[in-house]
This record gives sequence, C-alpha cells and structure tokens, in this order.
Amino acid sequence: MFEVPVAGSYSLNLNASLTSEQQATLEDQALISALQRAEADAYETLLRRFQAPVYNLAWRLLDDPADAGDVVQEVFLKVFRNVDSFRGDSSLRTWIYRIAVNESHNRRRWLFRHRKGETAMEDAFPGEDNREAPLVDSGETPFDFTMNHEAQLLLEEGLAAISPAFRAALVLREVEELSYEEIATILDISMGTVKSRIVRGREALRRYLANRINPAGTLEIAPGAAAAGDMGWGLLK
Amino acid sequence: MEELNCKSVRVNLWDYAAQARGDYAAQARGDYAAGARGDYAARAMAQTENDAIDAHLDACRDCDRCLADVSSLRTGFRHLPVQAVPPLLATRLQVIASRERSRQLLRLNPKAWLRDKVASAMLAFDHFLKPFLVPGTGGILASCLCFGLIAHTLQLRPYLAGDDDMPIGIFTEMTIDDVSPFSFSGKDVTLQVTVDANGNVSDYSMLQKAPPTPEEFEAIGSLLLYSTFSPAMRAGQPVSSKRLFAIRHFNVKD
Repeated sequence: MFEVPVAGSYSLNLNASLTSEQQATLEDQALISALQRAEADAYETLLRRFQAPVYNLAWRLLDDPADAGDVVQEVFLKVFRNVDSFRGDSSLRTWIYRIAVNESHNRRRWLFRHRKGETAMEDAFPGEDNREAPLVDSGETPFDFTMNHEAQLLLEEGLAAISPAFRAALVLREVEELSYEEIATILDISMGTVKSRIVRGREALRRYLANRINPAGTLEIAPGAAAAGDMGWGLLK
Repeated sequence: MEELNCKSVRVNLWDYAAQARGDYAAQARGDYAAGARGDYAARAMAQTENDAIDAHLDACRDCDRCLADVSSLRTGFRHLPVQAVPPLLATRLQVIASRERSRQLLRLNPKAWLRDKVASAMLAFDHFLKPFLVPGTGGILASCLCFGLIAHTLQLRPYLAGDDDMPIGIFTEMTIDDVSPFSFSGKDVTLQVTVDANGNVSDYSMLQKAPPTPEEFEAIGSLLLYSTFSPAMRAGQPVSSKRLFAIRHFNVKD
C-alpha cells in the first residue's frame, strides 16, 4: 500500500496493483467525498482539473467565448450544488461533461429564441481572443505556421458549420477523445446513435472541408509529416 | 480473413487511423492525471478487423487516399488550439466555488445554518425598515399635526341615547304655516291631524275622554279648514303624516 496525495489536505490510499482506471475512479470518489465535506482544496482541485476542458467543450459547442463562459459558470454551479446527489454511476468527468453538454444545448436554444440577428462585438476583432497558441514547434517555418493556422481556422469553421447534434458527438470523440460509452452517457443516447452521429458528423465535416478547399474536387488535406513531423499538416492544392 | 468493401472500410478508417498512428498511446497507458483522457485506444479494433482493413488498403488506392485525408483531419483535431480560460471567468469560478463551499458548510452545520438564517432575517428586516418605516413615521406625524390644526374647526356632537334630535336630512314633520282667523271658543283640546302630501287636512280626531259635542267638532273642523299646513318631507319628498296639536285658550285682560 502507498499513499497518493490527491490535493492538499486529503489523500488517497491506493493499492499498487490497481489499474489506472480504478485509480482514477478512486481519485474521483475521494474528490467527491472531499467536496461533500466542503474541503477548500477539493473545490480548487475540481476547478483546476475541469475548468479548462469544460470551457473548451462549451466553446466548441457554442462557438462563442462569452456564451461558453456563461455555460461554464452554470455547469460548476450545478456541480457544486448537486455534488451530494452524485451517485457515482459514471465517472466524474462524464457527469460534468454531461452537464456541460446539456447546458450548452439549453444555451443554444435560448440564443436561437432570443438573439436572432444580433452581432457580437467580439467578432469585430478576430484574433484578439484568449486562445493559447498550440504547442509551439521551434522548427516551424513561417509558411508552415501560417498554413497550420489557416487549417485550424478551417477545421473550426467546419465544426461550427455542421449540425449541433453531430458536432457534439464529434467534438466529444475527436477533440475530447472520449469512448463511445462515455459519449452515449453524456449525450443520453444509445451507442448505435452515437456511432451513427459520429460517422455522419465526420462525413459532413469532410464534405464541408472538401468544398471549402477545392470546390471542384475532393478533400485534399494531407499531413506534411515528412517536413515537420507530427505537427506538420497543411492544405495541399 | 473476411474481405471488406470500401464502404465498411471507410466507416472504420478513423479508428483505424487513430490506432495506426498511436495517437492515444498516453491515454492507453492510463495517464489519467496528465490528460484526463478516455480509453480511446483501449477499445481499439480487433486485430482481425485491423488486418482486413490493412489488406483492403493495400489493394484500394481510393481508400488509401481517404485514409490520408482522415489522418490529416485527425492531426488537425489534435492540434486545434486550446482556449485558455479568461482570467475574469476564472475569478468568477473561484467566487462561485467559495460561495458554494460556504453553503455546503452551512448545510453540514445546523447551528451555523440557524445563525445564518437569523442574520439573514434581521438583515431583511433592516432593509424593510429603511424604505417603509421612516416614510411611514413621517407620514403619521404629519397627519397628526394637520389634524391638530383643524381640530377646533370641527363640530362634533356625540350621539346620545334618548336625544330628541331628528335626522332632518331624512324626515321633517309637517308644520302649520297660518292659523285660521276664526277663533275657537270651546275648551282646551288635543287634536291628531292627518295632512296629506299636498298640505290638505285629510282627517282629524280629538284626544279626550269625553266625546266632543257636534258643535265643538264643527268648530274645530272650521279651524283646521282655514289653516294652512306644510306637509311632512321624507328624503326630500312630501308625504302624508299625522301630528298632535294642542289648542289652549288665553285670557287677556283689558
């Protein structure tokens, strides 16, 4: 037996023979228990672990930083208030992501009803957002950097263009890298529907990108792995 | 090994690309704390299915090209920019966490919860007093002052039981306007006279023990006939009424 300091004042005894998944589950349980006891470190830990992923997920689903910020606040408010009723049927991350997806869905419906025709002021200054730069490759040439940046924008544009239902499944799968089971739990749909939405979302995205890059032909996005390793991917005409 | 067609291969190309590139190797090792990722690669495709796709890709250039596209997109997804949480949002989340922790602590401690509720009630009462009590007190004082200024001009008569005061606004008795010029030479009598709404005598009777003589009765009739009356009024309208009259004699010495 050995003791793993989880966060601050509480710790978790883990058996060395436990798998990583079991360790993660125990870690979640310890965090939940600490939250139920209202330990300050637990709140800090929860925010540190999940505020960025939830914010990114909400941003991808809503495509608006201000709305994503509102959703994140709602999500954590619900998490903190309902932590006593968390039964542990799913992982903590799945539970929080589910709340985030539902809140994003509600937000999108609210926006659809109340903000038709409005234009956000943030859009007037593209590039002045709070996005962190992706992993910086010091060997990247300005040309590669520009092309990669263009490709990222194009991909985000494509994600924003596809149906919200497909986008949610695709983001959870490809960006958040969740399993089919977790996505099914988060979206509260069957596994078959998850796979169907992911396949259709991928196809919709592929078609959108193909039309944007080369309207007359097919998708020609190819990785420039030989030139710049795994980072090097660009648009080839 | 089962041969696959292009459609079934392309459906699985994304998972095949992920597995072939080892994109989620870190997650497959269970590096949970580092990335909090799922077990994407742990549920990878079966080896036989993998081999079948390999064989198909060797033979089909279109699918091989599609794999390149998929790999490119997967790489794109992996390098999508990570949005940093804005400092203002992070601060708001800290505030939310602090507030919710306080609520949770109150839930866990009944005494503290009770103290908090009492303090909240007192604060609410204070807040209630400010907008209502001060203006209310001022209003009452001003009312008392104004009433005191006009109190002496008010004519207030308390209603007493047995008072003979008549509500003149509702009913007024009939009255005699002019008495007949003809004198009555009989003895003193008390009459009950009925006057209709037009002021005419419609009936009369004498209230005395001994019945009147015909002469007395005729003399009183003449007296009433040449007298004029104002009818009784009820709610502003003339009505028929009865009233008692006493006839007394005065002896005036010359």
